[in-house]
Amino acid sequence: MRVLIASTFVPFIEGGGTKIVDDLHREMKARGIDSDVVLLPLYSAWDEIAEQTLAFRLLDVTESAGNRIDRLITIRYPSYALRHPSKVAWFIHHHREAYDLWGTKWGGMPENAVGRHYRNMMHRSDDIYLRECQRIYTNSAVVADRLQKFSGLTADRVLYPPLASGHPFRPSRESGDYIFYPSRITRIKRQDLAIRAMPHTPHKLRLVIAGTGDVEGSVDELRVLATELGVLDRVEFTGWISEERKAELMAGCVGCLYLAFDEDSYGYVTLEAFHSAKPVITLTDSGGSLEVVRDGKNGFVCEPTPVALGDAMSRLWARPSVARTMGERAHKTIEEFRIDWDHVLENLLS
Amino acid sequence: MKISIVNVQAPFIRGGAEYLADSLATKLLERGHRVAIVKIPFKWYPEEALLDHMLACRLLRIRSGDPDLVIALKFPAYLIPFKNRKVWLLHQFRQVYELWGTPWAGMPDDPRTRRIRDMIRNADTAALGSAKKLYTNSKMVADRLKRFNGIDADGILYPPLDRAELFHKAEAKPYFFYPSRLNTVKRQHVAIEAMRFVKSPFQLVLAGKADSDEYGEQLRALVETHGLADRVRFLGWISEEEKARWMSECLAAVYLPYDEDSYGYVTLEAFLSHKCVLTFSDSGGTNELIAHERNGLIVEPTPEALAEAMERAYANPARTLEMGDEAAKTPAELGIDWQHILDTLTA
Repeated sequence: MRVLIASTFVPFIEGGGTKIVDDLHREMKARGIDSDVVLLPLYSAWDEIAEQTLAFRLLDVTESAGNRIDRLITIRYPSYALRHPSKVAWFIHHHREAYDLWGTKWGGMPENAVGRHYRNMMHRSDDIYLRECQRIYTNSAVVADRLQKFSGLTADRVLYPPLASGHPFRPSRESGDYIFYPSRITRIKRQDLAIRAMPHTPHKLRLVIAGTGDVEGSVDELRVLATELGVLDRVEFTGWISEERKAELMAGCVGCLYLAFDEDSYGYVTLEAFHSAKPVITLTDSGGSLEVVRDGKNGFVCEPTPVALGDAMSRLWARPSVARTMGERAHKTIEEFRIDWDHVLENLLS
Repeated sequence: MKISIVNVQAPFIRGGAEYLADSLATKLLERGHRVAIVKIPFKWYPEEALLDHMLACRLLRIRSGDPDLVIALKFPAYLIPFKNRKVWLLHQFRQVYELWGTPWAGMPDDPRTRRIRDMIRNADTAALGSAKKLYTNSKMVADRLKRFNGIDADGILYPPLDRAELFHKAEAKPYFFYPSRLNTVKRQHVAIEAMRFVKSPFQLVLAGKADSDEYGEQLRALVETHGLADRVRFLGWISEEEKARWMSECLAAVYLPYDEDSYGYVTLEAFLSHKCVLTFSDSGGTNELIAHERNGLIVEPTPEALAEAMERAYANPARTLEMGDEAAKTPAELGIDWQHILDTLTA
């Protein structure tokens, strides 16, 4: 079986939606499936998407140099505009400003006749091209709901993206004196809230923040905040760390934080914590992580306030045996949601 | 600088242009640039698909990621609009140029295909003529551009080897070396037939994998039929390191492609190993680098003529190796090095 994976990307942007493509491709190759990738550049200005969609429509990927391509798997929008008789979508999001972000402060499209016209074009082309797919999978229930609501399409199943094979995260029962938050340091991940929660936690509990900032000075800002709150001696910034080091720090933590705002999917950090058998604290407005983190079971879901977050952190710290039990449940969550590549490939290739 | 290299891809197939794009990206990265390779899928049949892919390229936005410079390599990727677009032309669609009307055109000559041919030529003329800078990979391609599109290239940038440092000079042994994929266009069968006419005790060493099992078997049968088993050696696929060693110890290299667009890496590998090259008068691009009796021998495309050239090279090894030393100077003379190419493309 010859399988082509198609997606779009923005050159020069790290992790611009290409990780899921690379991982999928690697998993297929590891299983001896003849696969290749087509990654098309996409310029996301709302008034230039239509002609790029047409460009994708014109590219013929039904065959390559006389060899039949048996299956096309499309990922990021609007790669599903490509034509193929056996097309499957692993749908990760619409062009959100024309959908759920339309009319909110997060969208950039003008709410006038021109903006509406372009929005309608996107809706129409998504409606048509997605309906050509033999099957549609999404990467989260949030996205599946949105697909139902806006495109009237029922996803066949949610396929949660697993970690790449060979990842270093292993179940761990040891537990140190710190809460761990590894992530890109940026406002939407709310590392500042984690620091603001620290005054509301016991003096012996530390916070370890790993990752580098999107913009220069973002770590310094957090450091200033910790100083002002008098908790700098309890907050450690590791900077960039290797995956192996991340796994070590994850293995030794009391629990892990994932505080993103309104995300579409659960974020790899949550999954890394689950693989390490660690509970995850997330927030009621975090979005995707709420699909897999259940309050009091495999983590805590708390209000996005310093007091509530500090309270959740304190509770994990105060009762290590409870934290450990929650960690064990967190590890079982992976199986429960079938977050593994065998399951993903079985569906995408069936 | 942020640089996007734009190329085309036939999924599941990797060719020379893709390796070159990778090398170019690596070298640019080493210079501290940020580099992205963008590959546009390409399918050239039925003929109408050519027009679809051309239009698609016009509609794509290589502006994505906000590059400072776009370097386009092949048809139809160079049609993608961008202000600072430079073209290092490795490939036009030859079928509608000098191959038109020949069996290699791959399409009949009728009013419908003629319209498609003209649309491609017109699009090429517009896109290549409007590039900020236009370089070709050979004089042949530059000449074609002038003849069919009326465009003067800004220069020729001969593609260098990715790992030039592997190739070196060593003591010569009595064999001729021909490393290349085995296929009819490379004409290894002619090299084997030449060995029938050879009297002196030297060997022909062929390295490379057969493109088709059929041709591989045909070559072996040829060796068998003419009782050349002790004179012709097949190495099969070998590593770059092994190739460099075989090249360093040969008396001279043999490279016999039919009408190639570019000079072929074999020629360059031989030159860097201080070896002259035996080639044919109809080999195309190789003749741009090889000057007869200076750094190689260019002979008529027959087994007899090749046999005679090999005998001459064997009879006077001092002269042959002198031509090899001369050959080693050629790459620098033609500016075949990454330094020159990067300077030119990023100027």
